[in-house]
Amino acid sequence: MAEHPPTCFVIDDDASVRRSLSLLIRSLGYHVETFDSGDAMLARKPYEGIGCIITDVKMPGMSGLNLQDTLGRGDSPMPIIFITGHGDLPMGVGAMKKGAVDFLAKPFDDEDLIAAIEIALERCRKVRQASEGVADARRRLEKLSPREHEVLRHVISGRLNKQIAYDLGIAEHTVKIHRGRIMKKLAVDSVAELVRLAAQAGIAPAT
Amino acid sequence: MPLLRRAVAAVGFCFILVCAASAAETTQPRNVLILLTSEYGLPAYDVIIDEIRTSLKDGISGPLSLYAEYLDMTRFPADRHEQEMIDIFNRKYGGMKIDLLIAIGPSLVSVLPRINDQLQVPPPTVAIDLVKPGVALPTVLRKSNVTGVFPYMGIQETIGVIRTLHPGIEHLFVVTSATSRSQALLSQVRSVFRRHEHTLAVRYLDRMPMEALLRAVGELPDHSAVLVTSYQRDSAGNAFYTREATKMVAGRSRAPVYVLFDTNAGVGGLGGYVISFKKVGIEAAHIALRILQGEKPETIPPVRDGLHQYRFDWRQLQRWGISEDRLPEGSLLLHREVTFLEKHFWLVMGIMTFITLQAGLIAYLVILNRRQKTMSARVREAEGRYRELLRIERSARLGEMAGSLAHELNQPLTAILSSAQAGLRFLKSDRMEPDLLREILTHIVDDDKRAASVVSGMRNMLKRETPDFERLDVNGTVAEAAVIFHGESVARGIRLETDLDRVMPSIMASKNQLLQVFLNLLLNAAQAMASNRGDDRRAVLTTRVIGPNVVVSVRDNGTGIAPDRIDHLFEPFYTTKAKGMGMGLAVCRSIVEDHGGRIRAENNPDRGAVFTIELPAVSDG
Repeated sequence: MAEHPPTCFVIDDDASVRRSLSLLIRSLGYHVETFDSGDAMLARKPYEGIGCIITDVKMPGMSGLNLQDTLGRGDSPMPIIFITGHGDLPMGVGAMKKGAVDFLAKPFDDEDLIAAIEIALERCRKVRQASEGVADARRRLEKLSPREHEVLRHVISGRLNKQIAYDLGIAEHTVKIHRGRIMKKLAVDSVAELVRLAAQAGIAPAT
Repeated sequence: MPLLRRAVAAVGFCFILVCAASAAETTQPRNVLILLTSEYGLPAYDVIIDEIRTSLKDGISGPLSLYAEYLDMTRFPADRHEQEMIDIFNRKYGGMKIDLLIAIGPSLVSVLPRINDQLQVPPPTVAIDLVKPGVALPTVLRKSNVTGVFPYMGIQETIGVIRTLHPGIEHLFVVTSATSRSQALLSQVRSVFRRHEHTLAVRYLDRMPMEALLRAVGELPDHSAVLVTSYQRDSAGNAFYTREATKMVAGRSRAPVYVLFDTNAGVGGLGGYVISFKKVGIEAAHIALRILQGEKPETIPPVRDGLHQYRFDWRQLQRWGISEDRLPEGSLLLHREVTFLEKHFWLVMGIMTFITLQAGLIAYLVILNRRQKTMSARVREAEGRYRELLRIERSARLGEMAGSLAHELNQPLTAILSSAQAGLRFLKSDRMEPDLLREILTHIVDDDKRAASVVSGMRNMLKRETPDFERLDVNGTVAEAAVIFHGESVARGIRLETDLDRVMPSIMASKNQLLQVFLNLLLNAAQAMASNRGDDRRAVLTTRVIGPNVVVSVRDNGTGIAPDRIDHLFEPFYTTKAKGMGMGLAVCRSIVEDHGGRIRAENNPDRGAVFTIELPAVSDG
């Protein structure tokens, strides 16, 4: 996976704040995109890469909290850092509960912002990676035949070949052959690896 | 012979030369002889002679010799005396051409023929004497050379008045003297009274001494009246003028006293239908003039009527409780105590009115003054309270705005900090380039300036000094208000727009005060839009030049103003808010009016309200 520099999306109706945050974030080596409102941000084409959102809370039109709700419904993986001129604690608590990374009162120290951005990006990165793993596992599992899929569910439940053969009403030898093909198709070397992959793809073990 | 001496003294007593012409004039003076049968000093004579003398003096242009002779026959009633007097008279004037004889009675009937007999040519004569009413004149008074004025005694009329004024009258007492002449008059009286005798008991109080008379009138029964005819002499021989006697009788009488001659009225009697000797004199003088101007006596008819007058003494009316209203029409009131008010009614009314008005005015002024004092005290008090409230209001406004002002300061401070820290990081990572550094520093400078302007704006808001007016750019001030309000609008989710006229003349104004007004209106707008949806709050600040005025309006799309409130909005302490003091708009109005402008509020056609401020532009700007 090519390591694209992460992008910070800055949303503030105040041009000064936008400019200075842009500079600060650029000085950290990240990309910056600025918007003067939440609506403008939502209008942008979906961003696939690693990134985070830094938004003012109170703005004309859509507020930062509204933006958080909207993005949450759209399954956005990008964490949100709130910056606010109004040190409104209850509002901050609400925002944090909904998954905000931080709630910074203006003016804030760059260290605090950087720390928050790094946490946000890491979280984003993890989410991205997790979603990528699942996709990969599913893609690989799609190669299996229905019988092999069934055998897999029994294998990851920790049963022996003999038991599987009995359960499925087939020869133990046949189970061995399926098992070998599964390992080969999914390019795994151990049962442990197989279990993790199935888990990643969300396949439930046979009961 | 003292008697004769007295007579001589009386004869030629009076020689009056009325000379209107100069000494050089050769015209013969005309001789006017006045013959008076009674004595000098008789009140009736004085009145008549006075009229004649005045009249002749004014009416005759040539020289005039006026002679007067008093025969004094009343006081010296003896026939011998009478004859002596006439003889003297005849001797005295026998050779003289008499142009006019004015003969004044009483008793002319007996005197006149004897005079005329002696004179060569009977002179034209104006006779004045009492006669009986309604019968032909005696022959001697009807001669061709004789005319005159002949009044009668108004007994009939006087009795009529007595009956009118005293409806219950039962007794009438007639006072007259014992002289023959009075007795002659009495015969006239008797003939009249005969007609009244069955309803009125008439008694004659004659032939008694004055003392007895006065006692008698002091003991008169109820429902009585007294009539005094003429009184020259009592039975004891004491002489009186009728006027005098009337006064004495009236002073003692239990009953109202009536008289027959005007000369006797007003001395204590009630009044009566009296002969006016003034009228007699006027008529006689008139006739005398005509004769002297050449008219023949026979062509001049004698005057017998129109010589009377109802005359009453006002004091006696009061005494007898008789109302003026009951008097015959045309009555003359004597001694009427015209009250000061009656006499000077209009003057008094005028003065009263003036005084009343003036008093009213003074009272009004006093009240006004007092009210003004209390008012000014109240005004001072109210002013102090108003100022205090103004200050409180402003503090309240400031408190309200403090949060947003903090926000406004936070923004540039945040920007400065972030920009500076960005710069440090760029330097640390060796990625700093001159253009980038310039950009960073420029941002820092701009943001710092912005912060400074917020601070100065806040300081301006806090100032309490008197406004100093300066030439002001309205657009700039509106923009500044927008900047100051920005934080608030953000906090309240309001989209604040400005729509400024491009060409804008200056105005003379206090910037701080205008800012206060604009911010106040913006805050009101914000409050009016509080119940709007979050993305539906829009305030517009507009400036326009309309005629000589600069017009600034603040428009919102809030709840608008209830129509019944729109008229009161700018009144102090009028508020539509639960917590407001109602001073905001009042302060706005006072500020705008201090600037010579006007402020008004209207509802928009669709929704929300617009507050419009008109301020006069500086003309040369």
